[in-house]
Formats: sequence, C-alpha cells, structure tokens
Amino acid sequence: MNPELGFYSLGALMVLLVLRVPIGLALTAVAFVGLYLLRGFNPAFGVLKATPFEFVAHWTLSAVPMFVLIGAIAAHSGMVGRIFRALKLWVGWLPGGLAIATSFAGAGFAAMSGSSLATTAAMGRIAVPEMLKEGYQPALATGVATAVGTIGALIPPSIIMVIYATFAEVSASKMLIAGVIPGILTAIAYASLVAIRCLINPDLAPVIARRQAERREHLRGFLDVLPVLILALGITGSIYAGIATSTEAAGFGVLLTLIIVMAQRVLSWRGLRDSIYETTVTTASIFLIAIGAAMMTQFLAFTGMPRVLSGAIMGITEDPVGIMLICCLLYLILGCFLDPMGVMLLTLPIILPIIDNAGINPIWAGVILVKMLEVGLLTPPVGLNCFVMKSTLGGSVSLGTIIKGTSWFLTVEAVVVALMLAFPQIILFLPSLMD
Amino acid sequence: MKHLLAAAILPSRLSTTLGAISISAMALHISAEVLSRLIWGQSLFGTIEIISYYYMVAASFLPLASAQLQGQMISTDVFAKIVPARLRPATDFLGRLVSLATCGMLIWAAWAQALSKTRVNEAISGLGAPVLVWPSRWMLVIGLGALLLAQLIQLPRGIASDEDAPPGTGERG
Repeated sequence: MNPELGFYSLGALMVLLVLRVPIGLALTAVAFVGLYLLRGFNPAFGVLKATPFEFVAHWTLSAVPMFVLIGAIAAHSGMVGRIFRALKLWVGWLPGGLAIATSFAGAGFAAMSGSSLATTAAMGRIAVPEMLKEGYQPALATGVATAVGTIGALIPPSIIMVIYATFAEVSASKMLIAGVIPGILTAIAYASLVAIRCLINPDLAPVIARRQAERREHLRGFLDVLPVLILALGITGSIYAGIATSTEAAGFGVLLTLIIVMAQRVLSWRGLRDSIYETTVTTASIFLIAIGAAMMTQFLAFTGMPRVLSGAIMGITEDPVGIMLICCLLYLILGCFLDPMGVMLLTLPIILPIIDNAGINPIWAGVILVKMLEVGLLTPPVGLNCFVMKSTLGGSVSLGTIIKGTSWFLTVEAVVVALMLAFPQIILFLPSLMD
Repeated sequence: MKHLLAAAILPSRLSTTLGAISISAMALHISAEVLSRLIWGQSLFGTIEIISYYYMVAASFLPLASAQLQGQMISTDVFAKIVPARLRPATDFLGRLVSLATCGMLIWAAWAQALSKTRVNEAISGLGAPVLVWPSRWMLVIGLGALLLAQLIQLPRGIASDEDAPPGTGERG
C-alpha cells in the first residue's frame, strides 16, 4: 500500500496527456512504471503480459464492435435525413414542430450511431438549414440540434454502457435497459421545452401551415421510420425479455440493419466496406484505452489510493446523492476537456471503488455518470458539440448564438439529472423487472 | 522516405483488412448462433470461444497501426494547449518517444507471452472439443508490431513541422 504513489501517478498521467501521448498508451505506461516501483519488474511485466489479451478476449465486450458497426452502417445509409423528413410531416405543424422533430429524429439517430458528435454534425447539415429557412430563431434551431446528440449514449445500442458494465462487473443487459427510461425522458423533456417556449413566444418559431399530405407520403414516412423502430425495439426488447444477451442482440442487430438497408437500397458496397473499416479502427482505439484503464485499475488498487480518496469523500458526506453530486461535478469538468469514452475510462479506476465502498448501486451510478459525460459535451467554454455545430454551419450562425441556444437545454438536463438522483427508480425500475 | 512510408503502410493495411474480416465474421457468427438457437434450439460449436479468443483479439489489435496513421488514436489536444506554441514540437516529439517505448514494452510482453503459450500448446475446453488459443496470442505481436512501425515512421514529423495535424478528440458515445 502506498497511496501517495497513486496520487503521483495521476500527476504523471496528466504530464503524458500534455505530451499528447494517446490515452491508452499513457495509462499503460503509468500503470507499468507504477507497478514496477511498487512491486518490482516481474509482477509489473506479468500484468503487461496478461492484461491486453485477457481483457479483450471477452464475450460480453464483443457487443462493442457490433454496436459500432450498426452505427457506421446507419450513418452511411443516410438514415437520419429520412427520419427527419417523416417526423417533419407529422409534427412539423405543431408550435416549434421542426425543433420537436429534430429532438426525436436526433435521439433516434444518436442511439443508432452511438456518437454525439456524428449526430450533431448530421442534424447541423439536415435539420438546422430547414429550421432557419422556415424562420426559426437561430439560437433555438442550433440549440436543439446541438443538444439532441447527447441522448444517444443512454438508449440502446450504447457502447459506453457496455464498457461501463464490464468495468463495474454488472450485467451489460441490465445496464443497457437501465438507460432506456432516462433517454426517453430526456427526449420528451427537450420536446416539451421547445413546445412551451414556442407557445409563450410564437416569434421563436413561425407556425408552419399543416399541409394535407397524400396517403402515399405518410406511408413512405412510416416506412422510413419503421426500420429504426424495429431495430431499437428488437435490440432492447430481446435483451429485456432475456431472449438474447447484449452480444447476441448486437450481432443480430447488425444482420437486421444490413437486411433493412439492403431492402431500402440505401447502402452501396463501398458504403458497407467503409462502415466495416471505420468500425475496426474505432474498436481498436477504444479497446486500447480500455486495456490501459484495466491495468491502471490493478495498479491503483495496489496503491490503496482509491480507498483513501473514497474515505476523504465519505468524510465530506456519506449520502449516496451527495457522493454522486461530487462525481457529477468531476465529470462535468472533465467532460469539457476530454471525449466521453476517455473521461469514463480514465476515471473508472478511481470512481468505481468509491461507489463500491459507499454501497451505491453501480447501475444507478453508471447511468448518471454516462448522462454527465454527455452533458459535458454541451457545457461552455469547451462543449465539443457546440464546436461541431459551429464548424458544420460555417459562418451562418455565431458560436455565441449556438451556446446561448444550448444553454436552455442544459437547464433541462439539470432537471433530468436532479430527477434521476432524487428518484432512482427512473433508472432502476426496468432492470429490476429483469430479475 | 517514400519507400519507408510504403513499408509502414502496407503492414497496417494488411492487418486492418484482417481486422475488418474478423468484425464481419463476428457479426455473421453471432447471427448464425442466434438463428441456430432459435430454429434448432442448439448452440453452434465453440461460438463464444472463437469470438472471444480470435475475432475480438484480431479486431482489437490488428487495426491499431491504421488508427495511428489516420490520427484516430484518442488523445487530448486541450491539455497540450497549455504548452507554449514554440515548445510544442519538442513536447510532441517527447510524447512520441514515450508512446514508442510503451508500445515496445507491450510487444516484448506480448512476444514473451505468445512464446510461452505456444510451447505449452495453450488450449481451452470449448463445447466438447478443446479450442487452440495460442495462435491468437501472436496477433498481439503482429498488431502491436505494425503499430510500432507506424509510430517510427511518424516519429520525425514532430520536429519537422511546427503544427502537426492534431488527431482531435474523437468521440464515441
């Protein structure tokens, strides 16, 4: 036991990040040197020999590349544009209807693609120009399109939930199902915010006359939305009902996605090939960090540092909500600087023992932490989603306008997080039915 | 230099293609397993073992060199900005050296492990028959080796150019 070494190692990790060493290699280097100092060369080398292989040779984790592949295929097939058109037809005439359509289309696409940034870019290209053309206030149009991407990590298929489940040693299936209600709740909260604001101040979004669409148009819209529903319900439903494990649902989800995009004739061979290649590179870069985090977890456990830290935090408060608020604050700050996967894997070696010591339900904590990671993508001064929106739109809307528009949705997020903290059942109800 | 670059790109392309094949095979294999269970009520032989010990290992390590060459390795640019611009080529170069050394250690460890597991003909018992595991251990050596080569090629760039194309903070939710 040497807690000081644990704290020094975090400093060393920061130095390596400043030197722009890839996060995975930085974690590996610090863990190896730390173990060497603590226990000598052979035990340290032993961890280096065993961990990389043993960590990835893992059945549950194979859901990760499958989810990434579903997302890549969805992105290459132009799915998001078709969903948005269909929703525009159905809810576009409501007060702030296009922004409401953006909320749900964005949530659906973010869940499929698993990437907040990809969703933000897609909504910036597709939904924002339409809203601006209809005279929507730029802050509202860009705000909703910037914020919706963050919902994706909560709704299955979610890569980050599977990774968390692996580290926290909880059921990946339960973790995936636990995010469903919070995800839907957030999408509804976003849509409600838009509708209420537009009812109070109709100038924000001129009402679009409801147009009598032909039955054929409705049918086409329905057929465009149907695949997303089938996939989301198929993956979520089969895991929930216990018919399939998360990995089986993910693998079968890939097949289902392929059948759908082939039937719709919206994916070329080139698109498919690119999707697979993107998936391999993404998978390798995520797992390299996860391997580093696994070694760091082992090293920090030897130092006893997480125990000291959790003792200090529990000295401040023993209330689970209080401890989670401290963790949320940490994630909010780190989420401003790092990508969600990086923050999660960098911090889990420290946070999980704290959650464990305090006797906090790891599924409840996990969903709240994932939520906070995504909220970090919106918070100024460096909310990555805001920058992606700015770069997608070019000079037409200022960064200040985007941040102003997004801040409304940050308020909603604060309310949703408060609800999740106050009423754990929002998260734990569905998983509890799976026992 | 051109030949050197080609020498690094070729192994990275080859190993990434193998990784891509593994990902495709993984999707097919899992789907086949689910269908087999639904239709015949029976699992396929060794699905969990083959996916865990072969496809997953291939998909995790073989594409690393491509991730490096395409700037897809997840690193942080925000922290690097605290370094004054004129010092950044030097700190970047130092960072590359650390990455290289870490990768070298990982290869050494993977090599030692692969060698010892090959000697004992490592296998695990799948459903009924044993599944050989040791060949998969060598994929770490190949994937990390290709990554090392890619890093070596990129090593001098930190000095040559003032502001290298930053890899960006890729985000995967």
